[in-house]
Amino acid sequence: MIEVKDTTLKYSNGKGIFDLNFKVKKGEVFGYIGPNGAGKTTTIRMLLGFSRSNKGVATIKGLNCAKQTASIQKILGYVPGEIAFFEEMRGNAFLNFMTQMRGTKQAKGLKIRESLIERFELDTREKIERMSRGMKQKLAIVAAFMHDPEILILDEPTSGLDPLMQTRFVDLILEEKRRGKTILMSSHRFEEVERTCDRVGIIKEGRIIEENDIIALKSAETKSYLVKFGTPPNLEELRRYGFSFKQFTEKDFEIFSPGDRIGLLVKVLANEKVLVFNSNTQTLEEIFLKHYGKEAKKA
Amino acid sequence: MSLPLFLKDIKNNIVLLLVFGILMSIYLSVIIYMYDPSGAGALMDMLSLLPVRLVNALGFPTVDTGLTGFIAGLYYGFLIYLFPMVYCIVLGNRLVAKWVYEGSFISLLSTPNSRIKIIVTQGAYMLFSIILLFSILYFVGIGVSENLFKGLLDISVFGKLNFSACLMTMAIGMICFFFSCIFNDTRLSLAFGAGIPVLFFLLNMLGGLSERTAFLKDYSLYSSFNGMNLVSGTVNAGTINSFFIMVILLLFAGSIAIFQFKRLPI
Repeated sequence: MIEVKDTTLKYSNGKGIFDLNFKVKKGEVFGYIGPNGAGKTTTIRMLLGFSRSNKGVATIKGLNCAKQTASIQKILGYVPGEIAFFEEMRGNAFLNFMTQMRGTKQAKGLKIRESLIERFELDTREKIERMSRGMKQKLAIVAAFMHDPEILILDEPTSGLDPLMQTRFVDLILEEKRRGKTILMSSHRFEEVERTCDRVGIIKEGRIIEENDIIALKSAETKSYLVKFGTPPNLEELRRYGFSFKQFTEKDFEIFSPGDRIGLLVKVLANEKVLVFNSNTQTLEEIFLKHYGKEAKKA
Repeated sequence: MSLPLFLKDIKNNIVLLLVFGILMSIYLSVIIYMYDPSGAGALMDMLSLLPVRLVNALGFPTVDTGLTGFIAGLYYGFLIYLFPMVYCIVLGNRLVAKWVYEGSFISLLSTPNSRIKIIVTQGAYMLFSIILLFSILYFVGIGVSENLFKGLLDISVFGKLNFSACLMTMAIGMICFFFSCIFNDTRLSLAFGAGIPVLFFLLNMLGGLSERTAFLKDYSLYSSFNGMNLVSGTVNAGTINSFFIMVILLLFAGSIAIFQFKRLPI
C-alpha cells in the first residue's frame, strides 16, 4: 500500500533521510518511531508530496507521491505533526471548508464527523485561535478521519491529548484497523505503538535501523523474570541450559532468557518449588533505548 | 480553480478590497469635484505655486482643460500608482506566503486538489479583485462626473484609461504574487514583493524630475502607462495593453511553475 524505495531527501543542513526503504502492507498498522529530528516528519512530508526526494520513489497504492498528490489525497487522511489551521475560522466552519475542498457528499461524511466530534468531546463552535493545543489536535484528528479514508498517515497523532483522549484514540485506531485500514503512525509514545501496531520501523539519523513485526521485535530481545523460590534452586541446572541470572537473596532471582527459549525455562523451573513468577516485561522503550543508548536517555 | 477556496479568499480579503475601493473612490470624487469647467481652479492655483519640477515628479503634468484630461492628469498620473500598489503588496503576501509561513497551507494540500489548482485559484483571486477595484472606480468616476458636470466626461476614453490602469495594476499584482509563491518566509516575500513595485514607483517619479534623470523611467513598469498620452491619443493603447498582458501571463505562469516544484516547509 505504502512503499518507499531507496529514497534520499537531503536538506541543506545535512539532515534528511537516506536510502530509506520500507513497505506498509494493506490492512497493516505500521509504527514509525524515533527521536525528534530523526527524519520521521521528513518521511511523512515526502509521502504527502510537500517536499520531493532527491533520489528514489515513494508510492501510495501505486500512485507516485511526488506527482499524483491530488489522487492520493482522495484516499488519504493525514494528521500533521505541527498543527496550523486557519486561525480566524471556527472549528465547524473549518470542517465544512475541508469537506467542500474534498468535494465529498455532505450527508455521508456528516455522520462519521458527528460521531468523531462526540468521541473526542470537541467543541467546534470555538474559534481555532482560541483553542488549546489538545483541542486543535482533536480537530486535526476529526479532519483526517471524517471522510473515511482507506489509508491514514498520522504524525504524532496523540501529542497534546490527555490520557483519556489518548486511550480513545488508540480505540479508534484499533477499530479502523479491524475495518481494514492501512495506517502509518509516527510516534515516540511506545505504549501506544505497542498497543496498536503490527510492525515497527525504528529510524535514527535518517536511516531505518530496525524494522520488524512487534512480536519478532520483542521476542528477539532477552526476557527477564523475577522468580521467588520456596527452597534454594538447583543453579547448576539453570547454568547447564545457558540461562543467566542475577541473585538477590538465596531464594530471590532475576532470570534472563532469550525470547525464543522461554518454553525451555519453564520446563527447567518445573522441577523447582516456584512461589512467584513475574515477567519483568521489556517494553519497546527499552528496545528503543538499546538502539539509542545514552543519547536517548538524556532526552 | 477551486470554488470553495475562491469563496474563502473573497471572505478573507473583501474588507481589504472595500477599504481601498472606498478610499480611492473618495479621492476620485474629490478630484472631480475640484474641476472647474472655466479652466482655472483652486487646484491649478495651488499647483502653480509649487516648483515645476516637483509638479512633474509627482506626475501632474500640464493639466488638460477637459474633464477627462483633468482626471487623467491628477488621478491617473500619481495616485493610481500608489494606492493599488499598496493593495497588491498586502494581498499578494496574504494569498500564498502568509499561509505557507504559518503552516495553514497544509490544510489545502491535504485535500484532493493539486498545487497547480490551488495556486491558479489564488492568482485568479488577485486578478479578479483588481478588476473589481477598477470597476468600482469606473462607475464611481462616471457617476460623480455625470452628477456634477453632465456630459463633460468622455466615457469611452475614461473607460480606456481605466482598462489600461487596471492591466498595469494586475501586472504589479502579479509581481507581488510571484514573490509570494517563491518565498516561504513572509519577510522575503514582502521584501521583494514590495521592494520591486516601490522601486518602479521611485524610478518613475525621479525620471519625471528633469531631462537628465528621464532615462530612469525606462526601467520602470509604471512609465509604460501614461494617462495624459492615452487621453490625447498620442500612444497606442493596444501596444501598452498587450505589453501588460504579456507581463501578467509570464509572471502567472512563472509563479505556477515555481510553486509546483518547490519544497514546502510545512
